Amino acid sequence: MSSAAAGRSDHESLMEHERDLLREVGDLRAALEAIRRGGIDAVVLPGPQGENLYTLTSADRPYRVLVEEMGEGAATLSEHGIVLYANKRFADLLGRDRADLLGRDLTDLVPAQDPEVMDDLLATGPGRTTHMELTLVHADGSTTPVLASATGLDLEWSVVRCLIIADLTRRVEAEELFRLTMENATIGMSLESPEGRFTLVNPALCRMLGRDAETLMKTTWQDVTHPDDLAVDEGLFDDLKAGRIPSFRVRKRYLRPDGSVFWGDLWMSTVRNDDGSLQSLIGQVVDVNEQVQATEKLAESEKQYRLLAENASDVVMRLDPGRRFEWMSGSVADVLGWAAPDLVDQVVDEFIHPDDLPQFRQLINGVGPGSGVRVECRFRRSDDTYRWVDYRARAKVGEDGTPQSLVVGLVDIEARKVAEAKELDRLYELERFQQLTVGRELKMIVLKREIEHLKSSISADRRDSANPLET
Amino acid sequence: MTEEAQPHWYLTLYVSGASPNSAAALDAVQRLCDGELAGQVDLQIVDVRDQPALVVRDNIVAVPTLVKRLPAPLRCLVGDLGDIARVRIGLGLPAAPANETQEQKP
Repeated sequence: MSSAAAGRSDHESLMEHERDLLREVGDLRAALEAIRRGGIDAVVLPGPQGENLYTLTSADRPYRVLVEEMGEGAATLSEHGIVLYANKRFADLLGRDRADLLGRDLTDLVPAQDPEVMDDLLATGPGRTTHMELTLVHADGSTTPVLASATGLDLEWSVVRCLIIADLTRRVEAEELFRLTMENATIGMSLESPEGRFTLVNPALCRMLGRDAETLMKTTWQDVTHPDDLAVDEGLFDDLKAGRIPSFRVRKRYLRPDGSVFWGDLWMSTVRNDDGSLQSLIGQVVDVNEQVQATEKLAESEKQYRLLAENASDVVMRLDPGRRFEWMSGSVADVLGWAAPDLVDQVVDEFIHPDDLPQFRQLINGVGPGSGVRVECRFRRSDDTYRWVDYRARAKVGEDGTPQSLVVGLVDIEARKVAEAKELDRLYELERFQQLTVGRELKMIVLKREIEHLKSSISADRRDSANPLET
Repeated sequence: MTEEAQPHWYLTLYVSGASPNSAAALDAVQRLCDGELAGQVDLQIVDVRDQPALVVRDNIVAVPTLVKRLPAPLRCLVGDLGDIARVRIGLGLPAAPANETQEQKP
């Protein structure tokens, strides 16, 4: 490279450097001008613990407006709880003018039962935030429940607390409504942890399970469930917790401390967090103890009656309104030779002797609600012979008065009918004999009269022969 | 100029929350990047309260500040970034038509 070329290159490099410097100076001048004219919001200056940000007053305006107009109460408290700043909402929540609050000790504004809460809030250190529920007192003595969040802020000259308070009145009212609902519900209600421990129970559930709330909340649903129902319930709970079913209903037995059994209809559902994880189980129990016990008694009573009917010599039958056999006692085999299942769904008319059928139908068709009929007829046996039976039927009607079934009692009267027939035959013979006897008597009388007449005639003839002059 | 030859800008805008000058700077720079420079800008927005390390790295002395890393040379524009004409000069862009410039300066 020639010295002339090298000199030109140095010159261009210097020119470029000069342009950069001039541009940088231009930028710095522009920056200074912007600062002078208020075109910046904050300056960054080095400090002993790093960079410090100094915000210009005008730059805080959006935040100030935000705090002034926000829907929650905001205040700044000194280290000793003196109100340095409060927004309008904070003053409204206390029912006071904002000007009255400045310089006031916040501990004067909370009732006596909350000083410990206030102490905790005011002890919040720099960089920490504490959340507490407390009660604010209005000038007229009324109160407002609030959630207070205090954040400690180190301002070098002092530590202040930024306090945000949210009105909990509606939440407290909703909680009170929920409490009243729980307290006065006639059904048992509970909240349970995912593991099954009772976390909230109402008085109705305590009465049902025979335990007080404190005792109940130390137990799980498994502890109070009848051992025979445990396996089924655990399967349902597993499905519910896994989200395979949204809810379930089951009739189950609970065990009371005295060992007695309580029957309840249990409805279970869940409360889940936003991420779908299980928060709580909700249980509702309806008392069906009396209903189940009544059903059990009825079933036992029916069992007894059925046993009685099965072992009686008479036949008991139930027919539908179309006179088809629905059920009959086992004694039908002994009396009529039929197996009970062979008769089911058959019409009774088909078993009545054709000569007896018209009268049978006439009487049976006249059976009304609450009334009964009785008819003696011949019933066909399985060997196609007929047997005399005493057929007594009574109609069973539903609540609307429509017939539901015929309950029939059937008694074998074959022996009685045979005896009656024999008696009739004997009477007939006797009558004939009597008629014969009476005929002979009459003939004897006639003959006697004829003999007497002949005797008289003979006597007269003899007298006439002995005294001929008298003639 | 072909599409391949178009320059690409790497910009960092330092702001202080929703303060007025920061808000105006953010609005102006964002509109420029979404409009005339669409697809040619990597814009990073930094709140100085959240990332003090970047403040130290870039020697930021006041906010809002727009730092142009590329294309060279490195330039720092401090304050008055709502003035779109000033921003255009700082980024090496030609002056906008008078009516557009007027529109950018309320």
